[in-house]
Order: sequence, then structure tokens, then C-alpha cells
Amino acid sequence: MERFEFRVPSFELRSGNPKPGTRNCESMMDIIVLGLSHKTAPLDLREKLHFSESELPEVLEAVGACGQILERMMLSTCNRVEAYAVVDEVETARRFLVEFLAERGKLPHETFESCLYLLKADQALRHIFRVASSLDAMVVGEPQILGQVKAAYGIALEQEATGVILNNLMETAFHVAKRVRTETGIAASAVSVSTAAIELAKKIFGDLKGRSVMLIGAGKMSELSAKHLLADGVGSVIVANRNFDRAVELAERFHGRAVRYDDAKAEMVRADIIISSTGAPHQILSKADLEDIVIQRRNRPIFLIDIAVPRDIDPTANEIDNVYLYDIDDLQGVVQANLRERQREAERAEALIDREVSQFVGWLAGLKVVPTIVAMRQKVESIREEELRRVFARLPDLTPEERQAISSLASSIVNKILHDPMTELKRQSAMKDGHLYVSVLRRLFAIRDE
Amino acid sequence: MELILSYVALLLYLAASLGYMGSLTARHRRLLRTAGILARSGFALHTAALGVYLYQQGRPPATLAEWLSFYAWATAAVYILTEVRYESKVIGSFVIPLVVILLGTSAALPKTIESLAPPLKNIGVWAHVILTLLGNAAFALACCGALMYLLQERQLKSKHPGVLFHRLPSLNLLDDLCHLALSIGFPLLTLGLLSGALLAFSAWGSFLTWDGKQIWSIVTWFFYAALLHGRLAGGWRGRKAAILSIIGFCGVVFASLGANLVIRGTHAF
Repeated sequence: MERFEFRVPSFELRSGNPKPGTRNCESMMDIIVLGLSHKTAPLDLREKLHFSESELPEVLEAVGACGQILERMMLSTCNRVEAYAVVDEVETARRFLVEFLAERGKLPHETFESCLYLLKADQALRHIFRVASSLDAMVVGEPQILGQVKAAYGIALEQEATGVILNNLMETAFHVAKRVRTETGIAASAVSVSTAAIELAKKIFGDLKGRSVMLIGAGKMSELSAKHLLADGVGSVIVANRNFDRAVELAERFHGRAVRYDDAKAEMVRADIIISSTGAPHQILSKADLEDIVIQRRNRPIFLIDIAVPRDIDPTANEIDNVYLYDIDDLQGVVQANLRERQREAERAEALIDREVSQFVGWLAGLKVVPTIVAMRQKVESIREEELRRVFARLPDLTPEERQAISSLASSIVNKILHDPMTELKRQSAMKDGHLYVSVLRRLFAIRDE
Repeated sequence: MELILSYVALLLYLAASLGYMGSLTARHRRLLRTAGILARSGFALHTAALGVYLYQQGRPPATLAEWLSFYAWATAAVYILTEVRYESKVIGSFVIPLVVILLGTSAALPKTIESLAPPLKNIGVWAHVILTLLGNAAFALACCGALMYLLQERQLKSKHPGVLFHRLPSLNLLDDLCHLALSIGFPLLTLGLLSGALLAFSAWGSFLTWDGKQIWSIVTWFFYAALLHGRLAGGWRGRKAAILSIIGFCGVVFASLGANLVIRGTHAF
């Protein structure tokens, strides 16, 4: 686990002086998320509280003014405004953040307080992991959010607003997001009509390189679809339109070729993908037409996308071998099915996140046990030094070798006695009732809360 | 020794095919990778087992059980080459279970020791066996590709693409795979039959001894010849070609297992 870099102080007894500035971790150090998102707040509220990336440094600085907030980062996208923080005392920090948001948004805080959520501990962890993995997004699986979180974290890191805990938390969140992306299919399938068409084309033709697409009708829709297909590597574009000038104009834009509307059927032999969107009131391609075309194409498959209403192509043409005909409703159906598939994959992603959360909780618990271990060590250390001093005072005639021997005897006894309980304490701290071990140990060894 | 090796190989193939099939139901990259490793390890052990067998016996497979084991091996070999060629592991979800069936049947059959008829103890018998084995393995691959083609085609035609739609490769790739497998398998089968005829001539003085396997193999040959001709000259492709590939493979299976039960002859099985 190289990610968990925080080192627990070793037990070697060297100097007895406590390091100054060690944070008092026995207090309620908590990870919190405070914010609002598309799930809780309407757009007009979100845009009032929104801040841009360039405003982030000053925002972070302002939030840093609160003494209770030890580590912080702020995230603002069009769907959410959130603060991720490590705080000493939750309520004070919450009040401060709400006040800050109210001031920045120039809103009385009653207006948005009901939209805010405050998440603590493992709920906060889960939320951060879900946001980074795009499970909390408006369109589950959309890829932009991870980049936005990374940018927000990058700025917080630059401003030195984060520390050990938040750094590790965000690194883990990015790792989780990557796992979700590669191990589940939440972002694998197309969820818009034009990407669904491309997905289908790829399942028919494999690579789209060198394939040709033909547009029948030069409307906005077909132009958009052609743009998508070209972006995915389609080689050439043929445009047929009743108004030939418009066909020429569109063809030029795609470095394609315009053909007369009456030649369209003859040209179809050369096209692998046909997007039809004429305003014709009747069908322009019958099943028999397509049977002809398929024979001329020597059974090479042809993918027809009929986005016209009323439809341009006889729907029964789909029954012909090597003809794949999709109308606008079919494509919508594919999109719906893909959305359901995403939902199923999202459930797998949630399970993955649960496992990562409990792993991180374990790391945090290990971190919380550190002060107890340090205090314990200091106590035993001071006993050892005190006793050695007394022994040496009583036996002034010892040779340096004898002194050395006695001194190492004491160290070795102390170390060996401490070893097992400390190891066990660290191990138990990752378990559910780990804090019980900490308090029992503090009680037994009379370690006072600082 | 070689028995233990092939049993372990069978177990590895079995685990691999479970992994491959599991990966059809959802996106499991690790599972697919693990299945690939298992299949390759199974293949390595299987190779070792057959190596030991060849070293000890010094002759090509002479019983049905032995032949099935070699057939399973050749199919796995052809598949591993395919996986490299097409960078697609999903094909394994169909081929590796077939390997399991072949090797499993081989393991279940009684182990009899046959010796080769004396006139067959020459180099020609090796050529005959190796060529027909590889040809048949290519046809097995073509059959699996065709099956996947039909499944994917149905997904696309139904307009309700499900989980399989996302997992299976494109129609183009599958059709290409079938075509490649047929164009490699057919010459191998042709040479295999020719070498068999020469072998028969040198052993018995006639090119044909009219046993069930020979007759049925010739029928299969004509069938594949027609299919390949149709693909190359007539533009047969897609669904119909896929169905024919599957029928052709049924012919291969019958020639391997059943034909000799009807008319016994110079083939020992």
C-alpha cells in the first residue's frame, strides 16, 4: 500500500522530548463535505454560489481563515458547489462555511440552507469517491467531472490548503475513479442518439476508417450526424438533396461530393452508412429498392439511419440480410437500453466504492491512533530515564561499560514490553471497535488527554 | 505422467472457459485477462502432455480418445493465434468451451492401446494426421466465429441490443475471422485428404478404401469448396455464410465421431 505514506513514529527510544506542534488528534478530527448539487438545489441557486477556477485561490484563502478547518479544497462545477475539509469541530466549521457561502453569493443563508448537505466521516468519503467517479453526476458516467475535481485539487495543493489526510483522500479518489472507469461499464455505452448511431455503426463495420457516409436531405440533423461520423474516422461524405445548391454547399463543408437527388439510389451502392432526413411526405426507398442495392453491393452490409418524420425508408427493409435499418425511435430505444445498462454497472461501481471507503476508514483510524502511541512512548521513556538516573546516582563507581550495559538492558526491556501491545493497537485501530482499545489503553496507562 | 498433465490442462481450460463466459455477462477486464492466462497455461501443459505422449509412443494418435485430445490442442493453438491477430479475447468465450468439450470427451473415453496397421508406419501418416487436424481446428474456429456472428447479427436486427451487443466484436471482424479460418482450413483439408489418398495407395494399392470417414470427409470437402467458392465469387457473406459454416462444422464433427460407426474401414476410429 504505497499510497498510505504516513509513517507511524517508531518505538526506538531516543529522545524524550515531545515534538512541538504535534496536532492534538484525540479531538474530533473529521472529514466533512458541505455543499449543494443538482440533486438538492435548482440551477438559479447553483449559479449564484458558483465560482470559477480563477477565483479558487481567494476562496481557499478565505475559507482558511477559520481556525477549525485544518485542510480544505473547494469544488465548483455547473452541477455542484462543495467544500471538502478536514475539521477539528464540525459545527463551527459548518457555520463558518455557510456564512462564507452566503456572503459570497450575497444571499441570506435561510434561502439556501435547506438545499445544503453536510456529510461526515465515511459518508463524506463515499460522496467524494462517487463524485470523482461520476456516479453522482447528472448523466452518470460523464467524463468531465474527474478533470474538474483534479483541477480543483491541484489548485488547493498549490495553495497548500491541503494536508496529509486530504492529499491521501484525493489521491485515493482518483484511483477509485480510474478503477470504476476501467472495471465497470458505466461510461462504456452511448447515451445520445448520435453517439448511439456511431456505436451501432462500429458494431457493424468495426473500424469506421475508409467507410463512406451518404446524406439524403441536407438538414441540420444529418449535418450533425455527419460531423460525428467524420470525427470517428469516416472517410468520405456524399450529399444528395432536392435543392442541389444546398447539397453542394454542405458537401464542400465536409470535403465531400454532392450528387443530384435523382442519382441518389445509384450512389447508394457506394455508401456504407446512409443518413436519410428528407422532408418528403412519402417513403423514398422501398424494400425492393434496398434488395437491389444489396445485390449490387455484393452483400456488403449497409447501415441506414432514417431520422425523417414521416419515415423515408420502408421499415420492413430491415428484414433483408446485411441491411440494418434504424429509425429515430429505434435509436431512442438503444439510448434507453444503454442508460439502463449504465444503471446496472453503476451498482457494481457502488460496491467497489464501498470497499475503498472501508479501506480508507482503516487508514484514518490508524492515523488517529498515532498520538496515543506517541504519548505512551513518551511516558515509558520518561520512566526509563528517571529510573536510570536514580540507579546511576546510587552507584557512582560504575565503569562506562557497566553503565552502558544497564542502559541497554532498560531500553531493551521497555521496547520488548511495548512491542506487542503497540502492534496490536495499530492492528485493532483499523477494526470497527478500534477506539475502545485506544481508550482502554489510555485508561490503563493513565495517559491524560492533552 | 501425460495423463496427469492433460487432466490438469483440462481443469485449467475449464476454469478459463468459465472466466471467458462470465466476462460475456458484464464488463470484467480482470476476469478476461485471468481467463486468457489460464487458457495459455492449460495450453502449455497440454502441449507438454502431448509431447510426452509422442515421445513415448512414437506414433500419431491412433484411437478416438487420442485424436480428440490432439484436436482439442490444435483448436486451442489456432485460437491463441486468433487472439493475437484480432486483439479480441471475447472469441475465447466460444472456442475454449469447445476445447473443454473435446478434451473432456477424450478424457472420458476408455484408454485402449492400439497399434498402427503395419503398412501405415511411414512418414506419410504424420502428414495426413497433422494436416487434417489443423484443417479441422480452423473449421472449429470458423464455426465459433459464425455462431458469434449470428448472435451479434440478431442483436443488431432486434434493435434492442443487450449485454451481448456490447461484449461481442463487430460483424465485420467476425465475418473476416470466418473467412480467414475457412481460407486456411480448406487448403489444409484438401492436402490432408490428398495425403490420405496417397497413403492409402501406398498401403493398399487404392486411393479410396470406401470407409465411412473417407466418404463423409469427401462430402464435407465438397461442402466447404462450395461455401468458399460462394464467398469468393458469389459475394456470399454474413448470415447465410455463417449458417453454412456451422453446418459444415457439423459435417466435420460427424466425420470425426460418427461416420466410422456406420461403415467401418481402414480408419481405426
